[in-house]
Amino acid sequence: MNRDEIVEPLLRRLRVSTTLNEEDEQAIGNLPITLKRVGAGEPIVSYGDRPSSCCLVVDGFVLRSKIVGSGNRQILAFHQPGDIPDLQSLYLSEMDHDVSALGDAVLGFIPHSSLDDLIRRRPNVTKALWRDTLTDAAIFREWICNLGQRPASSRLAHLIIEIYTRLKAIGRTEGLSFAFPATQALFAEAIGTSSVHANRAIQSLRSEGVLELERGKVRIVDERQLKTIADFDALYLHLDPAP
Amino acid sequence: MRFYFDVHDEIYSAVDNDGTTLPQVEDARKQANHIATAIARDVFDANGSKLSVTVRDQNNILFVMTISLVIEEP
Repeated sequence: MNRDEIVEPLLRRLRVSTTLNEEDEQAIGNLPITLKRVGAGEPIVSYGDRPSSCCLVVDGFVLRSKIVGSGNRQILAFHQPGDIPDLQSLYLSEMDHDVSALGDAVLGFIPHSSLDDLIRRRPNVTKALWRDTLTDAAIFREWICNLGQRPASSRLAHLIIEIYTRLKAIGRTEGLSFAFPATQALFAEAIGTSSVHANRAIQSLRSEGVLELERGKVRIVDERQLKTIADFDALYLHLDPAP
Repeated sequence: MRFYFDVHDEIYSAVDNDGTTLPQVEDARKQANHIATAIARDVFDANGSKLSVTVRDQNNILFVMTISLVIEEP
C-alpha cells in the first residue's frame, strides 16, 4: 500500500467539508504513518490506556464502545476509512472508552508528536480537525436522540442510513449497498437493545421492503421509506463544504 | 448455563440462535423481563396487544413469559 492510498480516505473525507490547499495535503501526506493489520474484534486502544499515537482507519471498520456496570457493552460509534477514532487521545491523555476493530481492518498509527506539530504549522489542518471533532460530537448528540427517543426499528434504520450516508461521501458504496461486517448482536449493542429485539427490528424493516441484511453486507431497498422510518435528516453530519 | 430467548408477537417471531450465557435460571428470568418489557413498548405502539418470550436451554423450554396489554375504560 503506497502513501497516497493510505491518506487518500482521510483527504477525501476532509475535502468534503473543509478547505485544504496543496501544501496542507502534502503535510498530511508526509505524516509518519505505521501500518498495522488487525483482525475482527481485536482491541486497538482500551479504557485507561495512554496511547502515544492516533489511529487512522485506512481500510475496514472500527468501533468505539464502553462496558457498563452490568457487563453489557454499549457501542458508541462506528468508524470508516479516513476517520481517526481516537483523535481525542492527542489532548485527552487517558482513554475513557475502548476502540476495537469491527471486521478485519488496516490501521495507520500517527505519533501524537507529529500530529501536534502539524496542527501548530498548518492552520487549515487545525480547522479541519477541529471541525471533524465538532461533527463527531454532533453525531453523538444524534445518537442520544436515537437511543433515547426512537423505537428499535427506527434506531436501526437511522444507524444504517447514517453509515450509508457517510460511506457514500467517500465513495465507498455500490449503489444502495455497502459492505459492513456487523452481526445482529453487534447492531443490538449499537442501538441499545437485546439481540432478539434487534432481530425483530431487522425482520420488520425487511418485511416492509426497505432493507436487506446479508452476511457482511447491507442493501437498502427503499431509501426514501428507510429515511422516513429513521426520522433521518443529514444536517448533523455536516457534509457540506465549510464556509 | 446457556439460555435462548425466542420472541413471538402477533406479527413477528424471532428465534434466538445465539443464546446467552448466564449463571442460573433466575438470571434468565431477569433477562427475559428486560427483553419482553423493551419489545412490548414497540409492539403496543404498533397496536399489538400481546408478546411472549420463550426461554429455552439447549434441550427444553424452561418457561414462557407473556405480557398482555389490557385497557379498561370506566
